[in-house]
Amino acid sequence: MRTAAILLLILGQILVPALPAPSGELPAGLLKDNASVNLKISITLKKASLREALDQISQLAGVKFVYDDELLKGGDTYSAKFKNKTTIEILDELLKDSTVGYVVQSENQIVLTKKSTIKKRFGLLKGRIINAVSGDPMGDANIEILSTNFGTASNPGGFFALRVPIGRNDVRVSVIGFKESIRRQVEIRPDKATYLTFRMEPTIIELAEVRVVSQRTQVPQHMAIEPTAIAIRRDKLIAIPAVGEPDLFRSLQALPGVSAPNDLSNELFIRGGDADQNLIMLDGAVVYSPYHMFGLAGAFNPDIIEQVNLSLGGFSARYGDRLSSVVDVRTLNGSNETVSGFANLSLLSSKFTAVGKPAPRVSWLVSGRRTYHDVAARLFVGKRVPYYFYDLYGKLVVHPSSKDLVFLSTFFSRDLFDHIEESRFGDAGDGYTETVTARFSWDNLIASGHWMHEFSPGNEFELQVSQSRNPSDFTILETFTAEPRASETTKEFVRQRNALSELSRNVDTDLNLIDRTLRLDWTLDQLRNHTLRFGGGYSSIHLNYFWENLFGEFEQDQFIVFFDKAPTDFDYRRRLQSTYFYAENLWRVNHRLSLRPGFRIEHRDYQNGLSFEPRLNLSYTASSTLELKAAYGRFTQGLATSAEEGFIRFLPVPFPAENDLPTGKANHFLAGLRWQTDDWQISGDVYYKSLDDLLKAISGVPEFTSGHGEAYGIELGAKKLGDRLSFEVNYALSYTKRHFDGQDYFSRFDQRHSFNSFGRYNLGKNWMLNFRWTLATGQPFTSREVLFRRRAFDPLTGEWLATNDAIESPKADFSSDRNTVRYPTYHRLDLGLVKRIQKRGWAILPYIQAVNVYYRRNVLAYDWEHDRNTGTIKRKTIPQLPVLPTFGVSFEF
Amino acid sequence: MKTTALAFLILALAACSQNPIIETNINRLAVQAILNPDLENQIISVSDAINIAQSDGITQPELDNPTSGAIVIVRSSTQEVRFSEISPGVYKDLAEKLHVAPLKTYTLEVRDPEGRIVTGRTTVPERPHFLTPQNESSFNELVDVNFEWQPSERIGFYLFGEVVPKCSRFNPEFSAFNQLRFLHETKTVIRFRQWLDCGFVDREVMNLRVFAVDSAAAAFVWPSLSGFGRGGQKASNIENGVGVFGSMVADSVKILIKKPVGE
Repeated sequence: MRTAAILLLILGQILVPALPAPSGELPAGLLKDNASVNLKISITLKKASLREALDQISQLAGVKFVYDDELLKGGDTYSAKFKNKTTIEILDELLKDSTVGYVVQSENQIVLTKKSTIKKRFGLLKGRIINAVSGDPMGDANIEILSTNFGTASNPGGFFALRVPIGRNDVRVSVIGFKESIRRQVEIRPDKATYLTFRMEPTIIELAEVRVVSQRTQVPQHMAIEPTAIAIRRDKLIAIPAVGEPDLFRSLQALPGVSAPNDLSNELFIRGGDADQNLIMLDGAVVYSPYHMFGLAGAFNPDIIEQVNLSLGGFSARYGDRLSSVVDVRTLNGSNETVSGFANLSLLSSKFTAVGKPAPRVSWLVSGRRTYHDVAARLFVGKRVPYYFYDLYGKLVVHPSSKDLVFLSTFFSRDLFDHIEESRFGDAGDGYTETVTARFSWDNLIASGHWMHEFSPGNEFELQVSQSRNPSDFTILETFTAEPRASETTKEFVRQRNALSELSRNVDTDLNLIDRTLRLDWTLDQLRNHTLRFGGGYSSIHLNYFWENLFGEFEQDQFIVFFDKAPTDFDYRRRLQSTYFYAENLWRVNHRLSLRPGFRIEHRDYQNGLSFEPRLNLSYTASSTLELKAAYGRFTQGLATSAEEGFIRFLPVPFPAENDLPTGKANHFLAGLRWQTDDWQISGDVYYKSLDDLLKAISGVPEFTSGHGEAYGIELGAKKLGDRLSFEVNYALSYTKRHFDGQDYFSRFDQRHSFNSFGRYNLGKNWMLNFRWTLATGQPFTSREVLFRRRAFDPLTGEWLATNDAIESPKADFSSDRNTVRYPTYHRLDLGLVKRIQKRGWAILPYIQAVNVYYRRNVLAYDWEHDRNTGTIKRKTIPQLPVLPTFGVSFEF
Repeated sequence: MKTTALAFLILALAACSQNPIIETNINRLAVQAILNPDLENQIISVSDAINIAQSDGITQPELDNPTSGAIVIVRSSTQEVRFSEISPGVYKDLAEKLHVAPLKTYTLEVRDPEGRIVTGRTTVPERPHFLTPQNESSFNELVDVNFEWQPSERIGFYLFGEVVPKCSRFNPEFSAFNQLRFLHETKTVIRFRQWLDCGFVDREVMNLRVFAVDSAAAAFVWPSLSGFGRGGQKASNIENGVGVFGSMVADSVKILIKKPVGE
């Protein structure tokens, strides 16, 4: 309680100076962005000229009037009283008998002209704004007609439409972070729309000049109203130091509200949710296991990423079937230029990405990455390293017409562990060899196709078909070979061992998850104050899980094998189907307030009834620098991995809640504020999340029970935007609780306090220093209560015999109250240094990074060992990452 | 700027000052008892448990804490039996035998000399009955043998396996479970004769046993017998203490295994 009071006090201290002084005038710059011709105002006119009336309306409603001074010379005076009327209603009344008419140019701009010439004086300018590098449409671009006050902004699809004076006009388009584009002498005709396409060139070319641009600018429009939606572009992802090489999920772990389980895992635990409660998508396709190396590295090569849109909660109704968050990874949309790309050599892997444009309406992207320890060890040391992974990505983007965009993308990743160990036994000439072969492969195969079509400006849809497959195969095979001249006894022994090995000792798993999804999203942005989005989808999910003889090879408390308590043998096959429909309406109530009510209805054939999920978002612009947001949402989830424990989740596979178990549910209540200046962004958020009907495996059997939980906290963030120094500091106070089996406890990933800072400092001469420092409360764990005099079971008699045997386990080892003890405070500093060397069309970027530079011995876990000689149980610390320096070089061409 | 920096500094210090220990339970009373209707007498073990999370090292004598002088009582709907201490910390129903029967509920109360009271409760599962194979059926080696038994009520899971007398991995004085399986279903298949850790056992008769284990005993048995090295931590069902007060009941069948002709 006291901590919360201090935080609120601090939050107040931060925010009070940010609030502008009260003023009767609207702040400059607000007119175009936030005014509305539908804002209701009250005015009283006493013998006012039309010009004076317009000035009053303009001041109150924030609407700009554009007119020729000659038009308003002389004329009538007006005396009238208007109460709670819109600008349009007032104008209709004032001008009903006048020769002056008006045209609503945009939501905040009205053009006055003679009624007789309205149709003749204006023509339609339409067009689209596109990122020249990626080919992506660009929303929120400013379109201005120079030397006039005409202007508008593009919608999320990059489209715009504007009525402008006929004749020749200069059109300027500007977007933060991109070069300004001006088209001179564009002819606007009264009888035909003029169509323009602007391809915006980024101003950010050199890493040294990278600026951290505002969240508000980057977040896609459908997420802009959400309290904690964060967009991260590739340049920021690759700047955060990581183990071996940049990693998407490692970078996300530095954000407020996102916590990491440990150094070895890049799973995301977002605001008290479990890792499986995040909807992770690549080009709109759901990814179920986005990891390499059992979670140590992310499956996606950061070089293919254009932008990651992360919503920490209260997300749009277009997303569903997850309880916590959305991680929407959007890849580069090819190129508008000749071939260009990136390459990288690091200690972990080598990778290559190229984009190109072979024809005016076609572009492509190919990318590949592979670890090469195995190859290097074989070539240089002559040793066999049994593990490698690789991933491949390809994308083809086609613009069949100015109103259509089609792209096909495919992603394939494979982890392969192939270990062979040979041991020889027996006497000379009469021996045999034992060969243990362990082979493990773990794949992701994702393919998706998209078609985006614009019927008219503000009326567009996106159709998507995707398939996501997750096959994996794991076998351990033990074989015996007798030497040619071995004795008959040895050969008989080998024969018996092989027979037994084949039948009993081998581990065999065959896992496959296939998700096929069809979805349609439609946007209607043609009404003045409403943007309607709706859509639906169908998913067919096949779960095929088979394994046998699993245990005996794994220590269950170290690794999570499928779920917390998996049986030795398992054969599980299901086909699940779900359909959903959603609709939401972004309603701009006035120039300050926007609401987005919405709902999602989901039907799952493996669960009873429909899930109805209401959503509501609210945004209030208090001033040009301060924005307040709030959200409520209800969310459901059909599949869960039901695993809570373990340092590393070894193939956590999802299961549905069946057999009358209810669907997992969550309610999010969020509120936040953003204060933004040219150099700083300050944010504060509070949240409460309830989690109901969570799935968990019952001990030892493939059946599940349900429990519930809750999470709440406060998050504060500050972001410095500068040319020389850019950084973020984020603090979170959070509580994450669970209730299972009649027990209330803190989740294993509960972190009371966490503090993250990261950023970059431009050292000059194209040298850049990247840093990240993390400080967090240690995570809780379950202590052990030991007994020396354990009792042992004799299956012959069913007796429980008293024993103090010290041969294997001298103790019975009971779980204490769950998660009531914490590991020591966690902190770690990572540094990276990169130099940019520009060579004509090439850039070479050698870099060096170090993780945990001051060697903090963070605790991964404790283990207790029994020393038989001294009769002592010793606590042994299993550490997290040591100092880990890495280096590499990147290329851009 | 300064306000922000100061705010984050304060918050960072607040994070540092967080006490990592929320709660520690030192020396709770521990009980180990699993009732079995097939036993002549029931045994209950009482001792102290030590929470070792915050300790760098604990010596064996510290761990050896049998609790003498405790009052150990088990109640059923028809009986109240006080157990007698037969050795330090070990109590047995000597004075009056506890009648343990399937589907009957028993409650345990232990009060130690310091006045600590712990309680437990168990309902004995229904006895399982093998449906197939019949006792002393004959099968060839390396042929699948299907086992099926009648479902029991009040179980956590079934413990199924071949009992091999005096052949445990760690202590030859103990019997061993070969083909140990933890099952929720009432059927399983055995395909072969298996090598045991104590050596090849070339035997003609397989002694199969299925235990219906209640959920408390299941939580205790699972980590002990699952065979993954160190075993996991056990879940406790003892109120105000730790340990187990559970129950199990078995059925058994013997089958004959013959080598294929010509071998």
